[in-house]
Amino acid sequence: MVRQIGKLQRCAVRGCQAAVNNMVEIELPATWTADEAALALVATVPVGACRWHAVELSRRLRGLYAARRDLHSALEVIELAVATESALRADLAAAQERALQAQADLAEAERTAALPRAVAR
Amino acid sequence: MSRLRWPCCQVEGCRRRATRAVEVELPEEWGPGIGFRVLMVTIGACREHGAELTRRALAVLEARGEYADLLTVIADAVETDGALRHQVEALDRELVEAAGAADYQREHAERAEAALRIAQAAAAPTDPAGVWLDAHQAPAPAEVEGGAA
Repeated sequence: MVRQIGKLQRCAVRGCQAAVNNMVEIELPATWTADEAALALVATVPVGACRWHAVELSRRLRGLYAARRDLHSALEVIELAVATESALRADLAAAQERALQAQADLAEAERTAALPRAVAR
Repeated sequence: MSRLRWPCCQVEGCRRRATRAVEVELPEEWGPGIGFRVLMVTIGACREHGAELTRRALAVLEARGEYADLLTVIADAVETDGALRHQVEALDRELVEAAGAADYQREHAERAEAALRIAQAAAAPTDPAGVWLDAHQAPAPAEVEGGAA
């Protein structure tokens, strides 16, 4: 709630008794889905803040907006990571199968190599 | 005597009376940590906007938690991806080595077979047809003598 010191308003940050000398606009997103169109749906609330808290609020709000924008990218990265992991697991299974086949081939080759020696004896 | 002026809703464009105080908590940072500190801002709002702002303020905190989870998932995925790539590369290297070993064994077997043929040919110089027989196809003694018996 807007608080006042005489005619001066107080900083909107809880616990701060300093007088307002900056206005910060807080834009609260309507949704946090990955929908790009939803980025525009914000409720803008101007709040009064003291000098120190205005800087701090601006910094935190920048972080909030960046996180809101990055959310879409983060979800895309996760989708990509799931696909990559799946492909790598398939590659691994194929490589393991080839390794088993190679072991069998090697054993066969060793047996073949041993046969003439056995006959010669 | 001045009249007390009732504060207006702080949402942009709204002129209604502020009847609720909504507390919006702004996280300090959005990194992958579990705990985080917040800065609480008090906003005066009308009934309608009060409910909406409360919902959005809660959504910010939920998003903060989920965003951290997403970052953790991405970090785990990077680690898993690296480990899987390492395993595939190691298996590929082993396959190349195994293929080399198999080729060596085959070549060794071929040489041994060739040596055996030469040895057999040297051991049977009176073969009338001049054809030496493979050790695998060693004929019965009766056949060597022409089957006359």
